[in-house]
Formats: sequence, C-alpha cells, structure tokens
Amino acid sequence: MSDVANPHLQRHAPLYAKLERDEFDSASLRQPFSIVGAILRTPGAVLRDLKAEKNLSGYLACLAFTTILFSAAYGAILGLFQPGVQTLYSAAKLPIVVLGTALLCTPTFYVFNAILGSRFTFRQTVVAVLFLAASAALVLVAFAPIAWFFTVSTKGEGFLVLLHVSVFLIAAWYGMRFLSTARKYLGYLDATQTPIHGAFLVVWFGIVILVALQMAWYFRPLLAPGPEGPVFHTGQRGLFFEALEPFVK
Amino acid sequence: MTAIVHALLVRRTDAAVPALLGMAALSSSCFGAAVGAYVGGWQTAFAAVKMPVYFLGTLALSFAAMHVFAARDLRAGETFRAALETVAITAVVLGALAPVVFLVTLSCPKPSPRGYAFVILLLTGSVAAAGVTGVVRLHARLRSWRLTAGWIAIYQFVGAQAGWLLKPWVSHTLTDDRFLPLRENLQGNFYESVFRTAVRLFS
Repeated sequence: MSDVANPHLQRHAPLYAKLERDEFDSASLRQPFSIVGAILRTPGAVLRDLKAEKNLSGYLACLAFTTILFSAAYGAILGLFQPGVQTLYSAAKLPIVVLGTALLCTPTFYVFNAILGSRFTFRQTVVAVLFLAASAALVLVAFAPIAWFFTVSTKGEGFLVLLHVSVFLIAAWYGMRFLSTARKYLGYLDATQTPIHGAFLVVWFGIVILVALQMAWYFRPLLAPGPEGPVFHTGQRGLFFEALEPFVK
Repeated sequence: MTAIVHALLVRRTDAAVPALLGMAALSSSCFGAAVGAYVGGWQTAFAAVKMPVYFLGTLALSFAAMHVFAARDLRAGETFRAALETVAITAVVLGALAPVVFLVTLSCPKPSPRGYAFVILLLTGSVAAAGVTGVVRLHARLRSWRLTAGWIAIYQFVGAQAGWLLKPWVSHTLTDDRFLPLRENLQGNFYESVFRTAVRLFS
C-alpha cells in the first residue's frame, strides 16, 4: 500500500481513498434492505467485510433475499404486458434466471480464481458473486417504474423486447462494475494475493452473459405467453441465438 | 470437502491421496452427469460412472510408464501424488464447469445437428480449459518441460484409447440402452480408426 511509485496505484488512488472512507456496520444487516444502501453508497466497507469474512452469513441472506425480491418485481412488470397468470409466472421465473445464472457460474469463478492465485474461500466467492446478482437486480428494480410505464402504454412487442434487453444490459453492466471495483480494491487491500484475476474476470463476464441468455431463453416466455396460453415452463429446448434468426434472415 | 478443494487449488498444503482420489472422482462424476444429461435417462448415470473410471483408470494404466521417466528424481509415491494432483485439478475444473454444461445439455435442442454441434463445441472448450490448467500445474510441480511433455504423451496415448473404449459419451443417436457396447468397442482401436479415416480421406 505504501508503494506510491506503482502507476496502477497512482491511477486509482482517488478511488481507493474514497473506498477507504466508506463505513458500514454489518450488524444492521438484520434489516435486509440495508444492503441496498451499502451497495450504492459504501461499497468499500462492504468489500472490507468480505475480505475479513465478517458476517458473511448475514450478507449471504440479505443479498439472496434482495436479488429474489427485486428480480421478481421486475419479472412481474415484464409479465404485466399480458396481465393475469403470465404476470405471476414471469415474477417467479426472473429470480430463477438471475440467481440461477449467478449460482451456475459461481464454481467456475471460484476454481479459476483460486488456480490463478486467489485465497478467497468458497463462501467469500459466493458472496462476491451474489453482489453482482444483487447489484444487477437493484438496477432492474430502479428501472421498474419506467418499464411499467412503457409496458402498460405500448401495444407492440418489438419495442418492449428492445427496452427490456437494454435494461438487462445496463443491469449486467452495473453488476459487473461492482465486481470490477471489488477486484481493484481487494487487490489494493492485500497485495500478497490476487483475490480476483483481471483477465479471467473479463472471460468470466462473457460466460455469465452467455449463461444468462441461455437461462432466459430456456425459461421463455417472459413477456407474453405463446398460442397455447400461459405455462410456467414450456419444456422446449433451444439455443438463445435462435432469437436473433428473424433479424438475420 | 470445500477445504480440500481449496487446499488443492491454492496449493497451501499437500492434500492426502484419498482426499485427492475422492475429489477427482466426485468432480469428474459431476461433469460426466452433465455430459450424459444431453441424452438423458440412463445415459446421465452411465456417464457419471464412466467419467471417473476414464480419468482414474487411465492414470492407473499409465502410472508405471510415467514413473519410469521420473524415477531419477521422484519416489513412486511422489510420482503418484504429482500425477493424481494433476488429474484431480483437471477434474475439479471440469466439475466447476459442470453447472454451465448441465444448463446447455438440458436446454439445447435435440435431435438437432446444430444442438449436437453446440454441445460438442462446449465440451471441447471445457476439456481444453481443464487440460491446459492441469498441464500448467503439472509443469509447476515437475519443473521440467521434457518430463511434463513425456507424461502428457503417455497419459494421452492411453487416454485416447480409454475414451474410445468407454464410448459413447454424447451419443449422436441419442440412445442410452447400454452402459458400454464393449464387444463392439473392443474390436476397434482409436489409432486404427484414425489411420483408417486418414486412408479413406486420401484414397
């Protein structure tokens, strides 16, 4: 930390100074929504807790809870396009997609980081990945009023698909930015290891996007039910890039 | 369990041989099940059993030959541990990728040439990632490129035939009726088959 000649440290010095000033008492996690404020305003304190393995169970529970709740809320708005059972189905399916993607990609994140020099335990890794999921879900819920406004006032599906895909991309970007900040700050806190490997993180983000797309495609329809009426899971197999075929041909 | 995986991955301590064996078996079994899930039914269970047999069986068959080349520097126990650690780390990487593979094999279209191609491509990528990781770790341990290359050549030579014998993994016919079509498989040989294919190509 004292190595001021390191250009990497110099470049990110304002960021680290800001993160160092963050304060958050993890005892307040008894109120699950306190994690929202922590993600938005005091990521530095949260990341120090993560490093010190302080109150990880509390973080785990709060992050999982907020991820499920927020993505369910956005899912309900997705399904409001055709109100009724589809609304409930979409509200139930979106948490599966968001949390499922995070959990499916956790083992990869853990094993490759450990091989590349991280001493993070599996529990720490799960919490780190849940931070990504919760941040993304937080953005989803923040866009929910806008999405709701367009859902109830738009007739065509095409525009809504574009809108929702854009919101998901912003959510994914925000979640990834959290992990990217975590990578820099955790590396700064403990220079003896590489808690999250930079190049691998980029590859892993790619995997996350692909898994998320496939999950969303497998659990389709999220927006409007098909001709056979609302069903929770069609059981239909398919690859996500089939969605792009009408545009390519 | 996670403690053993962690110790192996970060190399703080040498994990005990039974722990390594268990971990290699469990991780490769998960990957096998994920692969077999494309065909589904019994093939999921078949592949979950066959994958650990493949990895550990190949190790058992090639161990003696590997040790001959390493005997000047390592005792038999050390050779075994080094080789097993490599197999275990390869299996753990595959095990970590298993959830992603599982999602794809479960949701990929079938029967469909494109779905089959996607699964095969994903498996090739996974195995390549795991293989590279294993080789890097093996080299870090042996500190000799010649020995590393020799060991890989031996393991691959046996492994190709073992994989051939234990087929099908992802059956393009999508049938799961037999654990092993052993009689048919024993009539063939991986290297003969490659040779015959090459001859067919140029004749």
